[in-house]
Amino acid sequence: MRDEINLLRNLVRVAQPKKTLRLARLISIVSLFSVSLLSVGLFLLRLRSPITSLRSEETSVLSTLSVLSTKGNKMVFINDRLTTIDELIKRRTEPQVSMENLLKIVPSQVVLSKLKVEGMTVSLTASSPSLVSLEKLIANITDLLANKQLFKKVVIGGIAVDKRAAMYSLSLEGELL
Amino acid sequence: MKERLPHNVYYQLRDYTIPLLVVAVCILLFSFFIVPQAQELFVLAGEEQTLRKRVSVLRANAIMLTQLSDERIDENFKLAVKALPAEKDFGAIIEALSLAASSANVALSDYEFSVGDLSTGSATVVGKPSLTIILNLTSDIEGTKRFLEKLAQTIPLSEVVSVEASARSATLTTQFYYKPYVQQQRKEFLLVEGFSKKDEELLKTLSSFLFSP
Repeated sequence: MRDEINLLRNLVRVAQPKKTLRLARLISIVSLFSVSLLSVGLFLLRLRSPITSLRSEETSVLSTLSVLSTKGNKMVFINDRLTTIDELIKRRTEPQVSMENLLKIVPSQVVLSKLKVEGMTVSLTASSPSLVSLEKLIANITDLLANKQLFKKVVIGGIAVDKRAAMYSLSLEGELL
Repeated sequence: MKERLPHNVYYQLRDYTIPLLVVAVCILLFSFFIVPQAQELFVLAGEEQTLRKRVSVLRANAIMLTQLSDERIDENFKLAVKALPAEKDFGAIIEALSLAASSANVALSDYEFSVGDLSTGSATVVGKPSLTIILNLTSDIEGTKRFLEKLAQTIPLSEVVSVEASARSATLTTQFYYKPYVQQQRKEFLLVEGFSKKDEELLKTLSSFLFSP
């Protein structure tokens, strides 16, 4: 009797592959769980972000700095000047040092009648009544060259005699180290 | 039998509907909610790092500037400007030359300025702008050397590029440096450095130089 009123009696029931269904359910549960977990995790991570507190701290420090802005600008200006000054002092040529070193090696009987220092070149004319003194000057310069002091290269221009003044003069040009 | 086939498929797949629907919703949520949120979180992490760095720099600036006295900054500011003026300061240069000459005990016979461009365009000069002066000294070589030594320790800063000295006089080509002040928007979050040991030494050296008060 029951079979007669069963509207689905003629349907062919195919045996459900239980394993696949279970797998599908498992996948859906795992997906749901993972998505929920990730959502909560992300929410918590966003809650933990200190950006808001950092922003408020930044605002408060900036308001302090606005009072000190003149001082700050002056400090930036001074730092910039000092950097340039340091560079200039280190970079500038010091002809007085070359002159000092040259004057040290000039024998007492020799007078420097002309001395020119320009960049890394030196030219000089030395006069003396004695050739021996001039020879001493040349020897001193040779020593400097040999010891790699002051000069890189020296070229003797010539030795002239002024008979009227009874003076010998030596002219030379050198390249400074 | 053929008409009933869809019903059969329905009954076959009915149990799968809910799991499949859940997976689909999960995929949608993952793609349109979780991935963008995660990306935003990475952006926020980067932003946080930048902000943290910026706040620490600002805090360091505030502490350093609070600790420095106004007098000290003003004093050093004046010294730095005297050593390297913002423009061609003829008065200061003439005073520096006179001071160096009197300290070296030599006479300055005359000087010639090579003024150059007076327009404001010179303020945009790149590198190390300078004012060239040709000086004539009445002095022997020893005196010229003394003058050079004194001038090297005088501010405004200068550099002697050539010296031609004889037994009685000398001609010097000198460059006096200046540095135009370029108005620039200072970035608030740039670290303002205090006076380092090197700066202190340089300031001490500069204050020992000759200059008119």
